[in-house]
Formats: sequence, C-alpha cells, structure tokens
Amino acid sequence: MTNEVAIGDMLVEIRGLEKSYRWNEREISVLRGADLDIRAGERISLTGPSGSGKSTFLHVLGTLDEPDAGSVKFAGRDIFAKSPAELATFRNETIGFVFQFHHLLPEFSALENVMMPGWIHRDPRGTVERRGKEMLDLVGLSHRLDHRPGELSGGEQQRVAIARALVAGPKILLADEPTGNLDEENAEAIHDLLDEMNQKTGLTLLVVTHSSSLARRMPRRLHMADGRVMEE
Amino acid sequence: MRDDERARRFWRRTGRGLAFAAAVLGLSCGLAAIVDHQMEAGTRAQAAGASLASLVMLAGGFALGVRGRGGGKIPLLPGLIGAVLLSLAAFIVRMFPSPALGMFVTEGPTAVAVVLRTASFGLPALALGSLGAALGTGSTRASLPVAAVAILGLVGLQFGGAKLLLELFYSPTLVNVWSVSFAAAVCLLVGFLLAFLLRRLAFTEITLVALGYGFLIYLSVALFYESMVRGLDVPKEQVLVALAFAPAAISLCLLAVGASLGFMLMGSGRFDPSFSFEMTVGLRYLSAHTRVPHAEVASSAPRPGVFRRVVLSIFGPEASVSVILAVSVMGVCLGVMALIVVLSVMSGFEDDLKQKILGAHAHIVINKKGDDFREYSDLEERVKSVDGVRSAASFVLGEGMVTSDSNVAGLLVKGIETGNAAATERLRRDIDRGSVDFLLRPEDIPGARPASGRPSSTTADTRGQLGLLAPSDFGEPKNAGVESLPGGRVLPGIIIGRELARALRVRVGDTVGLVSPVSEGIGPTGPQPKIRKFRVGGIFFSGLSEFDTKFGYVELAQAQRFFGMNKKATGVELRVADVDDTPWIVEEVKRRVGGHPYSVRDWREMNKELFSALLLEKLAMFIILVFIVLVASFNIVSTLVMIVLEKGREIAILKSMGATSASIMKVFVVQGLIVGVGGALLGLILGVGTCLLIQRYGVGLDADVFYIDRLPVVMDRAEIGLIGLAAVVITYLATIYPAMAAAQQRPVEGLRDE
Ligand SMILES: Nc1ncnc2c1ncn2[C@@H]1O[C@H](COP(=O)(O)OP(=O)(O)OP(=O)(O)O)[C@@H](O)[C@H]1O
Ligand SMILES: [Mg+2]
Repeated sequence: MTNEVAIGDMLVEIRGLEKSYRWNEREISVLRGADLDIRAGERISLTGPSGSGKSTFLHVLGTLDEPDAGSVKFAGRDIFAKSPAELATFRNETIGFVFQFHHLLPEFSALENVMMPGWIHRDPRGTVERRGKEMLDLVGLSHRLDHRPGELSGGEQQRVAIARALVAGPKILLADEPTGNLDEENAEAIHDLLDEMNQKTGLTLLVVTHSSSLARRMPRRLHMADGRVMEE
Repeated sequence: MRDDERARRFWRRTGRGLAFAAAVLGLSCGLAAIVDHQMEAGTRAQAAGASLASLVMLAGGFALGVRGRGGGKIPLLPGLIGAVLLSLAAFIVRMFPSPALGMFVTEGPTAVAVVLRTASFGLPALALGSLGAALGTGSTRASLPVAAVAILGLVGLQFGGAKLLLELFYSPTLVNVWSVSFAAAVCLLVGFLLAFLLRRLAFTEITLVALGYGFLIYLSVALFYESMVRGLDVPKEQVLVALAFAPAAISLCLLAVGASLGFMLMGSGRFDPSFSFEMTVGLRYLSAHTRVPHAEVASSAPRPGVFRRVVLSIFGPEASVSVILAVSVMGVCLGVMALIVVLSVMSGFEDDLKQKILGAHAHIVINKKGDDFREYSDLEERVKSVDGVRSAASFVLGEGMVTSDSNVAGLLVKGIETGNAAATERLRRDIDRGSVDFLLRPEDIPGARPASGRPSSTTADTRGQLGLLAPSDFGEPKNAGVESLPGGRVLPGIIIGRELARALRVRVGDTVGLVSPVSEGIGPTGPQPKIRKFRVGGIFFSGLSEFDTKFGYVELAQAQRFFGMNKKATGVELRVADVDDTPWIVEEVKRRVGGHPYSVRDWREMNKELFSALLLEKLAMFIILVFIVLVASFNIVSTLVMIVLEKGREIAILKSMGATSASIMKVFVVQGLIVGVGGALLGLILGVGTCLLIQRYGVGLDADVFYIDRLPVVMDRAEIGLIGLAAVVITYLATIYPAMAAAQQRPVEGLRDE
C-alpha cells in the first residue's frame, strides 16, 4: 500500500500531535502540538533533553501509542483511522523499531529474534531463516546465531535489535538511541551500517541520539523542546 | 474541589446502583409472583401481568443505560446485587409467610429448594435489566440487533426443531439429543459469528445472548410446563431451578468458546488459521520458564548420571519443562484420573447391582387389580410372542414365616413355574446346592440328617455352619430319609437363599415349616395360622442379600395351595433378551394386555428408588470431581496470568513487530491448551490404567459390609470420552481470560520498563 512512495516523496505528515499522561491526578503534557514532515529516504537525527518526549514521539509515530490530538498521515493516509489489526500489519510491513533499551525476546536466540518479524508475516520458514542469517551477517554477528540475548554483550544485543528492525525491509526505521551504550567505535560502525542501508534501499531514518557528533552525521537535524519538534 | 467532585461522583454511582438494584428487586418480585401463579393456574391475565412486569424491567434497565451512557457497560454488578437481594427477600417472605404476601407461599418445599428457586428469579431479572441497559447504552446499540436475532434464532430453532422431530419420529430421545447438541453447536456458531462480525471478543454481546437465551428457555418452560415437560420424575421445582441457571451458564461458556475461536481465526482482519509462530512462542514460554544461561550450568560439577540427568531435565534449573507447567499439568491430570476411576467404580457398582437385580427379578411384571387373576396362562400366551421377550411365567408371591428346629425367620414365598426352563434360568445358575428340579420331584431330594445326629444346642452354631459348607449332601444314597406325610405323600420342596439357610441352620434335605398368615380356623387362642412342612430342595446364592435372606421358591401349585389362591396368580413376569429394549417392549406388552385392570411395570419402575439414588450419588460424585478439575483449571488461570504479567514486555515487543491481538491470544491459548490437553491425556492414560489394574488384580472388599467381595470396575467409553472432553473444554475456558488480557494489552505498556 505504501510501496509506491518514491525517494523524495512525502512519507510522513505529522500535524498538531498532543499527548499527555495522567500521573497521580496531575497532567503531564509531553507533546504539545508537534508538527513534522518526513520525505522518503531522508536521514534525520532527533536530539533533546532527557524527558522532553522523544521516546513518546517515536511511539506515537510508530502507532504503538495513541495521541490525544493531532494526526499522523503515512503516504497520505491517516494511520489512526485504521483498525487494530490493520495497524499491526502496518507495523509489520512498514516500520522498523529499535528501542531505547534494545528490547530483545530473552527466550529466543539471536537468529530467532531476527526471524520473528518474518514469522509474524507468515513468510515461508526457509526464506525467513535465510534472510535472518544474511541480516545477522550484515551486522557482523554470524558467529553468534544461537546465543540468547543474555549470552550477548550490550553492543551485540544492540546489533541484533537493529538486524531485527531491518530484516523485513521497512520503509522507515525509528531508532531510539540505538548506540546509547556503545563505545565510539562501535557506534560509528552502527551508523555506517544505517547509512549503507539508506544508500542501498532508500530506507528512511529517524534516529534519536544524545551524541552531538553522531547527530552531525545526519543531513537533517531536529531538536525536541517544549513538546514540539524544531529544525536545528 | 477535586475531592468534592469525586465524592459526589461516588455517591451518584452508588445511588444509581442501589436504585437499579431496588428496581430489579421490586420488579422481579412481581415477575416471580406472576410466573409462580401462572405456573399454578395459567390464566391470561397473569400472562399479561408477566409481560407487563418484563416490559417495566426492560424500561428500567434502559433508563439506567441511557443515564450511564459512555461506558457502554452493562450494569451487571447492580443487577447481581439486585438478584441476591431479591433472593434474600423472597426467602424471608417464604419462611415467614404473611397473608398479604401469600402469593409467595407454596406448600412445604425445603429451605434449600426455596433459596434456589427464589435465587432463580434473579436470572430473569438480570437478563431483562441488562438487556434494557444495553439498549439504553449507546455503544452496544449497533450490535444489539445481532444479539437479538441470535437469541431468537437460537430459541426458535431449538423449539422448532424439537417439535418437528417429535412430529416426525416421536422419539423423546432424539428430541433430547437434538435440543442439547443443537443448542451447543449453535451457541458455538453464534459466538463465532459475533466475534467474526465485530472483529473483537464481543463479551458484552455474548453475555446478552446468554442471558436472553437462558431467560427465554426458562420462561417458556415455566409458562408451558405441562406441554413441554413430560415423563420426568423430577419435581417441577427442581426442573425450573435447573433451567434458571443451566442454559444461561452453559450457553455463556459455549458462546465464549465460539467467540474466542472466531476472534483467533478472524481477529487479524482476514481468515488466518495458522498457529505457526504462535505455537513456537507459546511452547518457548512454557518450557523456558526457569531457564538460566547455559554457561553457568555447563561449567559446574562432573557429569551427572542418567537418572539425575532425566530428573534435571524435568525439574532442574535448565529444565525443558518448567515446574509451573508440570504442576499445572499434574493438576488437570489428577482431576481427570480421579474422575475416571471414581466414576468407573461407581458404574461398576451400578452395573453389578443391575446385573443382580435383573438376574433375580423379572424385567417386566404384569399385575391385576383385585385378587382374581385366574386368566394368567391366557395372558402369558398373549405376551410371550412379543418381540424381544425371552420368557413369560406366572407366579404367586406372598409373605410367610419359616421355622426350623433352631430358628424362625420371615420370608417371601414365591411360587414359580419350575417347568418353564427360560423363566427359571437365572435361579438354576444361582443354585449352590441341590437342584431346581427337586421342586417338581421332591421325592428325589437326598435324605436329611438323622434326627438323633442333630448337634446339641451349645455347638449348633459352628457345627451347623460347617455342615453347610461341607459338600457331603450328595454322597448319601437317595431317598434314604424321605419323610412322608401321613397320607403317604411326599413333602413338597422349597429353595431358599444361602443366608437364610445359614440363619435357620438347615441344609438340603432338611425339613422346614412354612407358616402362612392366612388362618386355617379359629383355635382356642384366636385364629390358627396354617403350617405346612417343606423339605429344602436347594440353596441358592445370588449375591444380593435381599434375596439370599428373604426369598423362598416353591412350585406354583404348592404356593397356590399354601396361600389359598386356588387357580389364581399374583402376576405374570417377563424376562427380555436385551434389557435396553425394555421401554419399547413395555409399550407393546401394554398394548396387548390392554389397560385396566392390568398394570405393566418394568424393572426401572419397580426399583426406582434404588436406581435414582444411584444416579443421584453418581451425579453428586461427578459434580464434586468436576470441582477438582475446576480447581485445576484455576491453577491454569493463575499460571497463565502470571506468565502474562511477566511477559508484558515481550507482548509489547511482539506487537511492535506487527503481531496482531489475535496472534497474542493464540500464543497464550496454545499454552493453556497444552496444559489442558496434556493433563487430560495423561489423566486419561493414568485413569484407564488404574481401572485396568483394579480389574486385573482386584481390590478386596469386606464382604460382610459390602454385598460384593471386590471393587467392581466398568469403564464406559462414552463416559470417559466425555470426561476428557469436559476437561479440555474447562481448561480452554480457563485460558480465555488470561489470553484475552494479554491480547488486549496496549503495545506501549511494557516498553517503558528496563
Ligand atoms: N506512562 C507514563 N506515565 C506518566 N508519565 C510518563 C509516562 N511515560 C512517560 N512519561 C513522562 O513523559 C515524559 C517524556 O518521556 P519520554 O520517555 O518520551 O522522554 P525522552 O525524551 O525519551 O527521555 P530520554 O532521553 O531520557 O529517553 C517524561 O517526563 C516521563 O516521565
Ligand atoms: Mg527516551
């Protein structure tokens, strides 16, 4: 459904996004009318102080959370008009997530974690396994296929999470501090990988980061403050 | 200010709940009274009253629903409170009747029955109130027509189909099978369709359909009791109580099963029957529950032995089966096993009793009013040729006393057609000593012990018993001590049970006296009882103490003479080839014999108390054991809820990768089903195994306490199948709630925590 979006076309239109949490009878306003346009193939970094709402923003964008007001259009279609089942398929086919705390499934091996999106999509098992191995090879983990997350280092886990986010060939990658707990060298390597994917497949990148040096690698830099997104 | 508002809201809500409860209370009291009266009298005015009350109830619920708009919830809780209050009030009123409330007072039902019955009025109240509330609540309005159509379709088809079957085949069994299986199937289907159409589990609609359906069944049976319920020995009170709860509860369960299946298959927006990755994930969650990383275990200690490795693989830290899983499976397994073993033993007892009763008793007995049953042989001829009848024989039955040298006992004297081989087949098999044919030819009875050789009274007990047990009777020459009547005639023979023989201390060949209640004439001390002497021609052992202590068989003619029933019989008894055919045979026999003054009864009717007691006992046992399975399934619920809580983050991750709610539900249903099916299968194997062991090696019973010396076991295939099915259904029901909770978790929950 979104396959026809060519590089440079408008991919995401975010208008007036509002989100607040109720906490002990108090309203915490996190997003206060965030607007943003993203074109297909863009590489974007998002920075902002801790607690400014970056993760919340990504969650709403990725349809994991619902906004109180505002709209998100993906390839021209309002995504919150979809049914829960349609949203699930949308997430499966269009979005790749890397969470702030690189959430892997602890009971499954690295390979199984990477195969999961394909399984959910009900692709043939053989294809899924082949793609999973290729992807893990790409992130340099072909020697750790059968290790469980608990048996991997933090950086390795991060790389498995990225492999999992990219394996199904999503349109956009929403990465929440993908290199947060990696040393500089490894962080650079991960970013090289992301750039490479962007070059090869036109993958759109929206990466939240605290590191200004990494942010500077991105052609488009955004800053989050007061519940809004601003160009830097 | 905020607190103020909250308090106000709280009181408003409570007030509304109480008002609703009161409305339900008052209205359903009215309805109950009217339905009560309707059942008793059945006038049009009362039916109108019932409809009016129902309408008012609907309106009340509607008003409440409108006022509480937004939540879209049916006020089930106030409804329940209302129902309970209603029951309490009605109970108090019934216990302390007053003239003004006389409509509640019926004759002497037990307290429990009163509680149950009054509680049963709560259901219609709940159904109507909820329906009204649902009508009034905006959000469910859209699916209400669906629910209404479903209810009407269910009830209409059930009754219509039953009526049609009744017209076409006139087979009550068929109609019953239809009603139950059809209703079950349609409930499943309706639940499925609801979930299919609404793309969600539709719990509100399901509850509505179940309540509405249950209520309509209850109401229609209550109003048209006489025409709908026939040939049932259960009191009306109990039937109605059962109907007030059972259809609603059972249909709710089945609807939930159907809906959850529908949701799992259709919830992702397209037909998706695959369980491929859900199975993988579910299995992993079950098995990896206590898993720790390889490295820590692998490096420790030397390699354990085979046995330890097996134990470790089940319970160890790296177990492939988690302890929780094992415990859950064992719970279901034990429940199923207990059910199978206990019910099989009870079936065994019942079967044994049935065998013995059917063996010793007639299967069908024809009696005649009054005491001039002379045409018995004619009647015998008429019914002999009925299909399925093996034998027909006339008999005379009367009470008497029997005396021996050392004792006196009461007994039932039965005159039988000794020459009729088919009719005496069973007695011939039960004969322990002597022979049935001695009744026809009493002169052949071997001789008695010489009078001089009788044991003295001090040692009579032991000697007597030893004498009975020693098979010395046949070694003696025949006719050695034939006692003759003064007129040179031989004494007639009698066959008595082993217990009676033991009590009288007699054996084959001994003489006993039969005392008849029919007087022979007036003596100096009043009416003189008639005494006849008989010789013991045989001793039987049937295993049924009622027979072994109380029955004596004599030749028909002897009995007629003894009881002064010249050429008359007490009745004609029939034995059939297959006891399961008895109902049809009875119909045919009735037709041939004609009605008054004859009455035809079969063995079930004659032993009604015994068999209904057995049935009741079995039912009670079944219910108790089902509770075991219920407890086990609660174990499943808690295990799954724990896993769901623990896996909050994993569920969120799966959803973020695009797993649908239906898929998440499948993941947990798979786990529940593995526990349920695994436990049921294991229980089935263990239960049947135990039964086979008991059958093969036997468990001894104290024969003095029980009438039987080893534990009888009869395994009924249908029963065992039903137990397995019930266990799986119950465990499946147990998984629905946790699986639903997991499926409905919002993806963002669980992503925040590290
Ligand atoms: N479920 C919740 N309930 C209440 N408050 C919440 C909840 N989730 C987030 N918040 C609050 O919303 C604000 C924004 O959180 P968010 O995780 O989006 O910040 P962030 O920009 O990602 O911060 P960081 O850079 O530290 O990851 C925080 O102040 C947080 O306390
Ligand atoms: Mg964050």
